[in-house]
Amino acid sequence: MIDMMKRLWTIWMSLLLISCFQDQGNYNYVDNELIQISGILDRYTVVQFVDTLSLNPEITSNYADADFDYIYWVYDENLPSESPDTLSVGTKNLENYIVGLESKVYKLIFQVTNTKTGVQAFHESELNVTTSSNHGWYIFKSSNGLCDLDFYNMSGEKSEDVLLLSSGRQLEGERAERLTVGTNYADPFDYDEGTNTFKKTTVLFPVSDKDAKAVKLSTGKILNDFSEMFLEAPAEPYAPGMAFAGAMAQFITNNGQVYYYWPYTSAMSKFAAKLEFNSDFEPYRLSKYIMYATPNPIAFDELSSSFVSIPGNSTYLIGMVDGTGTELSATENNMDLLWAGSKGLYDIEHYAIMSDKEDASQKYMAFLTCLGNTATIKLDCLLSDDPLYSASLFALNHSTTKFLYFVSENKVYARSIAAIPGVNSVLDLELPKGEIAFLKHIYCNDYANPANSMNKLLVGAINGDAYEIKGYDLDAGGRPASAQASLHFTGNGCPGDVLFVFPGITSTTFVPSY
Amino acid sequence: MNWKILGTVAFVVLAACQNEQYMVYEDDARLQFGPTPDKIYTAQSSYEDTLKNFSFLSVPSDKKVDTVYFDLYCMGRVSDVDRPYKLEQVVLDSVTNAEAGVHFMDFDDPNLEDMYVMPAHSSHALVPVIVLKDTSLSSKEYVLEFKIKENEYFKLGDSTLMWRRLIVADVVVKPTLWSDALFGRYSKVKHRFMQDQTGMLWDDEDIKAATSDVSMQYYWQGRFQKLLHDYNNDPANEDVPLRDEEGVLVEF
Repeated sequence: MIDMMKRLWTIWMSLLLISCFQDQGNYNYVDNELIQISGILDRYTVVQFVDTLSLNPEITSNYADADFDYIYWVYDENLPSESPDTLSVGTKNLENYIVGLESKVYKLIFQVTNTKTGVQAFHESELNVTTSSNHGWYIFKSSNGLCDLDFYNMSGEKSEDVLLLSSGRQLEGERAERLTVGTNYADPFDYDEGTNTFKKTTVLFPVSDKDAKAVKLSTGKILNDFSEMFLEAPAEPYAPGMAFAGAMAQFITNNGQVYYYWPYTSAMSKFAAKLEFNSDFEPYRLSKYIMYATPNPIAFDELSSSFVSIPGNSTYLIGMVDGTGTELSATENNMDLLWAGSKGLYDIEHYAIMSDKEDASQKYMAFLTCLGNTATIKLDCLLSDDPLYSASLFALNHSTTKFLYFVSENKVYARSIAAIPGVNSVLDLELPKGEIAFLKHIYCNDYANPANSMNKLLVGAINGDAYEIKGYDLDAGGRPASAQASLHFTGNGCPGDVLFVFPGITSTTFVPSY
Repeated sequence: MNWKILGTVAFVVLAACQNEQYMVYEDDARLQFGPTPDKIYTAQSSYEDTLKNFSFLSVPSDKKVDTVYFDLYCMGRVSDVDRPYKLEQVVLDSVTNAEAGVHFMDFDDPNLEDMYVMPAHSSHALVPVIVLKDTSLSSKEYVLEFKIKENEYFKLGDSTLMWRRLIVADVVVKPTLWSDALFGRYSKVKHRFMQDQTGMLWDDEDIKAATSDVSMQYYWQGRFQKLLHDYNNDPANEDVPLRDEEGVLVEF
């Protein structure tokens, strides 16, 4: 009897629970609609106001009487708060559309809607809008106490003295030092009333021995002069060293002091926070040779002869700690730093050329392995007959190949640094004419856009007041594939740095080190 | 017995299927305090502004009277005419209560009659508290707690939103937005040091600006560390190393 009551109870409750649903008989026996889009490429590159964009997609649907509506729109995936821009509504094809969008990389969306069923389909492509100033090669050079940029676009057309042309002024300085990239930089001339903020953009930071500026990549115009780049204008004379990005912060050095801001959160992009040496506020002076490490960049304090870590979330530098088996203390090692660089992005391997403070004739190549704030240093003592001993220019190979390139007696060498001591070999190259004044390895492996990938050794020479720069393709072993250059630039002035740019470039596309 | 239970359950369940009618507020007009209008629909902001600080140090020294505002809301229908409301002071134990006519103007002062009204066609009013600069404020903080008093126009709303508290002083008062993570432990000496060194008030407005961006936070933290270091190492200063009112070393 109890079992019977339980069964009745269960049946009764089940009936009650389902009784609130009303069967309206509105069943749908039609297969799910499938809209397919074809005929659109994954990537388009256009020059702003020059190239036109034409798309002729094919649309198919398994719904017989489909009536489609079409929209083309773009958005910047890095700026989700900004509204998408609509390119076209209502027509299937995009015909000879002149692209006037601001130069950057967009997501191009083609949206199809069956107005009878409401079913939608999307196709996503990459739209790369370039200008005459943001896809090509910049040469940072100095001449007669002033520094400027020359630009070569992808067709090889040259624009000389871009800053003078675009902004009517140039950098002060005897030496063009380094040209790096900053992203999410607040453009003081592009105020967005909707968000009550300055729009963010990508900038170049050309840095000379006496000046630096923030230059908008898409226009080549100066956004901020050196004093304007800081929350508190630094005292003159200026002596910047390098602008470089860390994991969170954008840094710059001036007179050996380091300042930073956070690009993603800073409304004004002003270098504000200043790092002190320690809580006793002891003086320090960082070398211009910055090593790109994780979690923080690493630099060398020339006053205390110490390697220090540069945090972007503190008010003090962090002293490095000696690792087990180190042959040179990371702190107070009584050395002068002649040069230093990082092997790659987020790498733990860094290299330096150092000399003894007491006896400058004692020179070493230091191999630094840095894990966090712990440094293990191995030394390769350089003999006076080693070409590296008297080298004037250095450049690390930033790929996996363990080479240090250097210039000695106007010849370019590659030194294997896979072991101690290193082994030198002269590179067989048809060098640019004149005294070699510039050396750089430029390396990028862009899987998404292979056209931006490169592995080149750049050599620049000065002949009178004219520069000649040649770029040599390197093979997988880090040696020139040919003695002939694949790149060739000529112009006036002494070359200090060369940078390949494109709209999607970031502060870490190329290793922000030496 | 079981059939009775089954019948009762069936009745309850079947009754649950009936449409519920919309509730319409038909009660009397009621008043309660709340946050600023832009946060009125943000649940976590309900109790913002329950406590406010005001110091005459934050205004020019010749200013003898100032006004602090609170937000008041009414439930029920809006009216075509202004409707007066009533406030009264709550005397608290264990604090120094502000004195009407000395530290603030009495809510029943006939001159303020027109100020304490819910405007016509509105369900929101700014409640002005007129604070008076008295010499006694320079030695300590005074607390004014006040609550809504029922009158012929309004009854009382949510009992937890009936009152507001204002700390009035002529000395530095801990800003509501003070961040221990940024500036360390609060003390009046530290606050005064920050004001003296920068010429800024370091009230809620300044702290909000300083904390608007991570790098600005580190900028100010670093700047105060350096200013304090320089102060403590200046032989002209006799009170070094700087200690707060409880004898604790001031640190940033």
